[in-house]
Amino acid sequence: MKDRLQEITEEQIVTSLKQKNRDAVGILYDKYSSLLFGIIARIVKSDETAEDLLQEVFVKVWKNIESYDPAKAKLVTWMGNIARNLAIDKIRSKDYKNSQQNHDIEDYVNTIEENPSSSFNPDHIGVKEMIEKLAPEHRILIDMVYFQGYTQAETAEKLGIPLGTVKTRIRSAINNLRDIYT
Amino acid sequence: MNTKEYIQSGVLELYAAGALSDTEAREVEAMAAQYPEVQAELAAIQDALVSYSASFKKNPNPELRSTILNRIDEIEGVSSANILSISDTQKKPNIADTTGKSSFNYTQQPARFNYLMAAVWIFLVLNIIGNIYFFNKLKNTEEQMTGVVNENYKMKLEYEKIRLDMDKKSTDMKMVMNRSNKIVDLKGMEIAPQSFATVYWNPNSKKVMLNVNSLPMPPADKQYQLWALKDGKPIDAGVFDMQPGTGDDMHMMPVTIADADAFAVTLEKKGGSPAPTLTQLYVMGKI
Repeated sequence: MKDRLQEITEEQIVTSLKQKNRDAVGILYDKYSSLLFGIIARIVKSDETAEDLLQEVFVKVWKNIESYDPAKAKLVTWMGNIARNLAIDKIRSKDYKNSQQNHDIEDYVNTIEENPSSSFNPDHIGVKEMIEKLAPEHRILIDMVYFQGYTQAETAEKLGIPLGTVKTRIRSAINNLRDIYT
Repeated sequence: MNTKEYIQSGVLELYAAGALSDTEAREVEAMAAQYPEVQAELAAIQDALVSYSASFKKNPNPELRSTILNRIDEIEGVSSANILSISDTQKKPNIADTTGKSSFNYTQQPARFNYLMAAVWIFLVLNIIGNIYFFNKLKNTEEQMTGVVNENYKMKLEYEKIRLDMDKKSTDMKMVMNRSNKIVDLKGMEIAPQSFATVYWNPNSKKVMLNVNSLPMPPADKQYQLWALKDGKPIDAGVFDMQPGTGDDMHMMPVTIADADAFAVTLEKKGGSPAPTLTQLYVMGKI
């Protein structure tokens, strides 16, 4: 069973999705829900909201699969982008801002140090070590921009560093990530 | 435009991380659409960010799976209802046409509706029976799935354990195979003549590794301690535990030994002693 699940290729999943095969959503869910939920929950900081948004992600994937282009991005990357965009839109929306207290940078730094997940998952073995491979100033930048939705200018202002520095640091942060994950 | 410069400018990273304004983002999208190498670079950047995100994996409420699948069914249900209503509106003019031409059709209609109603009822009843049947089947399948998922999870844990174990073993191997190693056989002393251990000491890296070939199990309040001897003076090389029933037993000692001319193992109180208890000397060997 385990082997069979792994044998299903991304291509096959995409084909079944395009054929409107509902089982493909189940497979996608089993493969990626914890990843997508992790991204969303990290952005919106509320499991309840994150669960609502995760639903929206799968609905969007189901409705927009025709616009997915395998030549441009992996399916997981495409879904990850959908998840991030939905979550960032949510925290930028007016009613959400009102319902949430403003989190400051110090909070992000602290949340990085915390265990990334409340539920134990074998995939987490060594995760803290992996995150720690990234220099702290890189971690803060990626967190602010990717997970908190700060723009380049906002980041520069908040951290008190020049605009160009934000750009070069994000580039070297992502280059480091690419070294770590490839 | 030089795409190499463009790639190195850092704008793709800003785009992937979502830090650009809408106008800037559209420029990047246009560049990616035009130049395949920009597109490839962007894809690699996005993959790296998603891999990093995987560090924050978190399991949602398990009920969410079926909620989402139900949502998908609902969406599909709505669209098939739409198709039905479209075909209805297409039929209506026909009915109006025929009824307008002839009153005969009018009198036929009630009978037709009766058949139709009966058909609808039969369909509904079958549908309900079918739903109950499939619902039960689904429940069974879900239970089986949970079992499989748990099994999978256990296997992953097991795999991770084995992998860590392998890693340690391969580090041990590398250490043992090092050609500059001095290999010292520690032979059993009077207290336990059958005992035997091997020390791998690397004078360059100063690392010490101990293989316990055979030593009696120590009492619970005692621990074996390894000593390096230099000109008759003992140097503490750390205590180690025995794992019952594992046969050969490798220990990377948490010390560095710069110089030695012999190694020995004594039985000491738990945690080790500052100086060896010579009456409890188990094995010893000269380099």
